[in-house]
Amino acid sequence: MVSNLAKENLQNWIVSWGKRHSSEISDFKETVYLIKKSPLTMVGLAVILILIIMAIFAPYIAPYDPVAMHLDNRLAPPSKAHLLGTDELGRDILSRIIYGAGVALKIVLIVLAIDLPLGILLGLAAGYFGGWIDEIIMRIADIFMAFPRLILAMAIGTALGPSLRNTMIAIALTMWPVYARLARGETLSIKERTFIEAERALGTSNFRILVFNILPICVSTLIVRATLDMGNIIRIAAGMSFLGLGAQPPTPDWGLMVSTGRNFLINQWWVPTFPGFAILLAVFGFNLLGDGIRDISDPYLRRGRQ
Amino acid sequence: MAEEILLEIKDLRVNFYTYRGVVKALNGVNLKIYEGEFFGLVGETGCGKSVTASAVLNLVQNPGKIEEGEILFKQKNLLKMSEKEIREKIRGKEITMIMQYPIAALNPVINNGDQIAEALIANKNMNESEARKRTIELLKEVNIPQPEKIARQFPHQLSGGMAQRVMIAMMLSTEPSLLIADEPTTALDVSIQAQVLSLLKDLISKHRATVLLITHDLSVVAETCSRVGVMYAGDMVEIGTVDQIINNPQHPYTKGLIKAIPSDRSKELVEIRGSVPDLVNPPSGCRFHPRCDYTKPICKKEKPQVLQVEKEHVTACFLYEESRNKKSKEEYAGEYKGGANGRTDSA
Repeated sequence: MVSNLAKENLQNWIVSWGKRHSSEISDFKETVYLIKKSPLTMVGLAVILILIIMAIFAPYIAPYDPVAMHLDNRLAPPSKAHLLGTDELGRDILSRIIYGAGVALKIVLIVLAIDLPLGILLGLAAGYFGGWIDEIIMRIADIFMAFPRLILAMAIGTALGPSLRNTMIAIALTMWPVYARLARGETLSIKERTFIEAERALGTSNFRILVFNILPICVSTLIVRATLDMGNIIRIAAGMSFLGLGAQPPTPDWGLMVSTGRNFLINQWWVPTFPGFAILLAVFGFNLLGDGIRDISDPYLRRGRQ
Repeated sequence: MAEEILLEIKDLRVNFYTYRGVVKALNGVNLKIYEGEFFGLVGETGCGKSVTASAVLNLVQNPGKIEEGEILFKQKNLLKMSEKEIREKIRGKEITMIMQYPIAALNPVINNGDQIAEALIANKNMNESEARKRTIELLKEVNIPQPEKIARQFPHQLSGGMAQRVMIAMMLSTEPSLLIADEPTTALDVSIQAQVLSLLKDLISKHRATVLLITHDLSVVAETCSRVGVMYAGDMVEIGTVDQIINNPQHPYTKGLIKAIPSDRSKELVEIRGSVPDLVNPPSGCRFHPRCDYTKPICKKEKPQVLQVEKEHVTACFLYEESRNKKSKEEYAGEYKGGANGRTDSA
């Protein structure tokens, strides 16, 4: 009896939830439909999903321990036992690549977790209040944008000392101006629109206008930009690791693997090549997905909405 | 008509500092609005109606600046209040504004219900479930069918008339004492216009609010308002009750506007020749003189004074002054009845 009642309650709740969120649900269905229609986005999405699964389930998927050395089996070519061969310390390359996905995703997520809020905060403030606040924030951003991103990241990374954590900080410091500028630009155009005037006429405070009216509109643009940047972050992080500024051995980092493997390129090509492919695929996947999301979130593409 | 003055604007001047020069958008506007009335503000595009409205809320946008004048709302000068004070005590609580393009005035990424609920939470200190309940009630009050469904939809899914109703619900949600309606029906088609206006009228009498209705359509004013102010190029040229303005206009501009209303098919429509002057270099003297059919030499030199025609009826025109002087001379010659009593036959 009791369980029946609970079941009914649950069913009612699900039905009413569906009704309350009908427009969101139809929106979501349309998004799925649009993704399905674009094969490249599907490819990107598949690559990223594989990457995420690799990162989360690495201990269960990887055939070997990524840091266990087997010096009797150094530089073994790809075989049944070691699908992608082993490196100069006899470690299984496939296992290291699988664990490396986690390192790469961690870098991406942490850099964006620093940059998105920071960029949004500074950009909204600069765009909305204007005047000297805008001037100060944007001139600092200009200083950061005046240097090539990789060079600046390397400089900061060197100054902080080589480690994975410092690499993330260095990349985050070079990326925030992009988001701040984007958020500022969006805010500048949104704050002139009639509904902001209407909000002002209602006596809404600046804080509420920024958080409840301007932010939700900015966010979509920033998320698109962030997905497009994920590939870049992986690339820069790999570059820094390659130069010895990023992850330190024995971390299974792709850039580091390419870096140590480059000595063996002629005779044992598999050592640097497979990690290189991993970087290539991940960046490619993120770029395809980013492009796809940009197209899908374009309101002009979304027709036939009721 | 209640005799309590709710809003009084005294000699309000607003300038816009642009590249081309200083645009003198408001050139000393005087206005009184009584409690509980429906006041119409009429004039051509660019004559300063909307600027007056935003000045009342102290929301004149850059590069505009309120130069001088007083805006007394419930005997308090709004122009002397700090931005914070006016935001917390006046906007939303005492005075709200309905915009011309309702769909543009609603945030496109927030659903209709949440927008109204947000206004309630921010201004009335309601909690979320109370606000949601009240939102549905408000939507019902503005005659929206299926309010629960509309509350879940987004502004782009609404028609213009619906969106304007949502807007009205939002602006009335905080129970303001003055509602400024800036061309609320301009973007709507005629049949919806009438609906929205009658709805607005009903709601206002129910909520006991006062309305400042800004429009360029004298027929809308005739239908809804009790008193009217006619503006021309930043000047208030005539104020009176609807009856006085429609049946006994004194200023040539008001007369021109009335002649331009399509009323009778047999009558030919008469336009006011010329167009609104450039307010960077406004015409000297009376700003209407280049377009006026009765221009006299003095019109080019001096700004006409505001003169009382009847009770509640004032105008700023030399023609009226002249005819009144003529009349009072005649009256002096005959039997002096005291003061001017209107009726002029000069125009």
